[in-house]
Amino acid sequence: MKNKQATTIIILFYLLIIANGSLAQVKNSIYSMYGIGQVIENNYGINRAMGGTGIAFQSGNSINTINPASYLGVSPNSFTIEMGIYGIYNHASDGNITQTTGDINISYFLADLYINNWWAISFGILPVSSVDYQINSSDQVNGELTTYEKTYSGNGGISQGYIGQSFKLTKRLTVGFNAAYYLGNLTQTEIGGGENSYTEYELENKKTINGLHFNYGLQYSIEKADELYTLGLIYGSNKTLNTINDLSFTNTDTTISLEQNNQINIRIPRNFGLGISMKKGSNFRIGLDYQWKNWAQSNFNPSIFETKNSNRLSVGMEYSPNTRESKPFGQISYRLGANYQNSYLAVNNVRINSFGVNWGIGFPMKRNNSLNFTIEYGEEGTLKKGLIKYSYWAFYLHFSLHEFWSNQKR
Amino acid sequence: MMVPRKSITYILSITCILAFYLKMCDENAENFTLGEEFIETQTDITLIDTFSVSLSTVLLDKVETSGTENMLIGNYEDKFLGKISCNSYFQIGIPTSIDIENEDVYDSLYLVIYSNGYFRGDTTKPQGIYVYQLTENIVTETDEVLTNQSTFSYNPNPIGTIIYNPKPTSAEDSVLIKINDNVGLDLFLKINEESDVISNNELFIDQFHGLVLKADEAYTGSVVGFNVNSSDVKLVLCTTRFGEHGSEEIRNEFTMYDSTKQFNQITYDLSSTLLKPLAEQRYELPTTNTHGLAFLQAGVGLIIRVDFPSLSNILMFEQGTIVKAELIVLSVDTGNDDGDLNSSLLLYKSDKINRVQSSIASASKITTGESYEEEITYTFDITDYLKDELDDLYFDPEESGLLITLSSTALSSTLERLIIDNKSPKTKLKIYYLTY
Repeated sequence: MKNKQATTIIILFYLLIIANGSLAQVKNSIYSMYGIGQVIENNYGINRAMGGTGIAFQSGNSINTINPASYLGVSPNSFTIEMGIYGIYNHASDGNITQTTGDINISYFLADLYINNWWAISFGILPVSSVDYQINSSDQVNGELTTYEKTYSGNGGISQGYIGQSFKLTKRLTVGFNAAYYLGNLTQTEIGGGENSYTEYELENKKTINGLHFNYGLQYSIEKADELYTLGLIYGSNKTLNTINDLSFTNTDTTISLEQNNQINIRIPRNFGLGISMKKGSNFRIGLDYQWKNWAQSNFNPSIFETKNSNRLSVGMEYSPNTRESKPFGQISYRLGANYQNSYLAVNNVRINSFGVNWGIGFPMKRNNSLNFTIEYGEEGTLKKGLIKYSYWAFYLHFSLHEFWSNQKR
Repeated sequence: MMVPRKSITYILSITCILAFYLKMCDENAENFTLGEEFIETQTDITLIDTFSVSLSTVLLDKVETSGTENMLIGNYEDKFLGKISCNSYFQIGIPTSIDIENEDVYDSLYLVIYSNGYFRGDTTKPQGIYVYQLTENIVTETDEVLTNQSTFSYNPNPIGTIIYNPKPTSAEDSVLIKINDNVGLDLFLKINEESDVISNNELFIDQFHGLVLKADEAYTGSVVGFNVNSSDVKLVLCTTRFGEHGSEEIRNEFTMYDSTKQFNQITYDLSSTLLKPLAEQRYELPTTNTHGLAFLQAGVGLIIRVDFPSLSNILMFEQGTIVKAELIVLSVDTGNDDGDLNSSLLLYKSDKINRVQSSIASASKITTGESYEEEITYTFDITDYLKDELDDLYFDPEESGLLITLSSTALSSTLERLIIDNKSPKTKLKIYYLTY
């Protein structure tokens, strides 16, 4: 890297990844207790600033991983890398009790390599799901009026390392795929007893997960004067990931492995997405996405929660007042987005729905690099039927850095 | 064409402030309780108190009683254990310097001892003490100790006697016992003759041997504790010296020598009690033969063995473990006639022949209920012990006996007693069993 600024940022970023060792994206949500944990939907890049919309968007200054057919959209003859940091302030309530948490973490890392005018490659590390909760409770001894402390907690998550390719088949049609290797640990523990009561014990259920998953995309564009209309489709197959369930029990410094009665294989459901977008000139674009996931086929056993097929609708737009103007603030991109999701979890037929609204701003830097900042407000869950409602403020900071590998600077 | 660096710096600063704020508003997760109702617990703790507890009484072959701080003299009648008598043996040495002149006249010889406030039995009754002179030296056994069973021969004709009224309320009270004048005169003459016997303690003890203070069997009332140290146990030789200005009384004190040779001999007779069959330490007497009662008696050396005959059944439970185990014993209410136990109880591992092994737990008295029907229980935490015992998935009830006893100090220098009710459901083993 000739670019000093970029090098510094990348080094800092890797240090942060090493220090944190995870791509945790969820902070204290009991809805992350089930299945693969809380699924992280389109949490990356400037797509996030547009409500997670991107099925019909081309990659540009920033990489669009939502549709693997989009990688050709980066600057020609360039190598792009992108990294994100994520912070959240989460407020939970069941109507009586409130809990707040805050966290900041590494979000993702992506790269996109433009090879020629019909072929581009992208790779990166992205979060897939996260588990994070702690519930302090108590239980009663059978046969005696005595209670004792119990703590339930979960942590871990699944990340994917992917490599994807986009191919331009015709002037209008681009196709692509991502081959993703999913890897992660989900750990759930139940701790009871402790000082002055019963010998402390811990029951730990650890799922070690890995597996290869493919998803596919296509984009079809029609140019009309200075307007570009794009239709995007994505598809991912149903895939059961290799899951090793380890159940262990620890008491007075002795840990024993237990037979796991319900071997649960973690599944990535079949999913399908459709998007449309319109781009006008080089300074305005708007898109609409719909995504469906076949979660109803998954059983989160044992659970009082049922699974439903999830539906996600999002809309987003981006506007740069004038890309050619020399005045500094004319270079800035403004983004706006919203999403609504009919989640995969339901209890007593009440869906754990969520919505979010996003505002983003992008600053161009030297050599087509950019710094993007997004704020999101969202809510998840409901106070109905004794359920828990989360409201959060999240922010995303991400850098897109470009290196041109030939002399043909744009 | 670029945005000024100022804007970038601005954004990065905001991020830092946000990061700081987020870390700050991260509440302590230890307080989080939301979501309790969505949890499906996989662990349960159940109280099991149906494993039987078998108690039995063990009579220790001997209890070390030498070198204690408490000289026990007297006898009393225990409602359950019959008559218990305490005799105290000790040596007397010579004074460091003797003040006797040729013209001095022998007056008298007294034994002085000081009671220390400890007593057991009925102190309203007068007590009699006989003083006998030993006819052999006090020698320790192979393990350098003297026990409640040790005995040494003495001249059966007492050299002194007293009938006195114990005063247990005053902590220190002297008891003076007049010693026969022939003993006093003999001592006086030896001094006057500057006999070799008076020249050093060894020679003196070889000649004089020592004393034993025995209870007068005619009086049954109480056992009283007396101080054990050279200034509180002494023979006082009183002589008169006549000078130009009249007569002067001279006292020479022959004090107790080597307190490790002082010991309490404790005699008892269980032949007319529930514990009649007890003879050897290795054969415990189950409470099934003693009306459900188990006895602990300091001095005498009665301790209690605990067995869990059915506990091996716990090994048939699958996927579980003990997270707490308590042995609870209920003390029999014997009225306020005699010695409440004040010491803590100690629990030890036992071997097959009832020898005390490693220490496991201790328990102090817990009193519950109203004063007229209060209950006294002792609770031992035996969690670690049972977990260890069951760790190898094997439990031999015979090899896993326990012994309830007192500290060696309490066992050797007091007469504290505890009777445990093995019939009461309050004497039990409580196991908190975790299943997962």
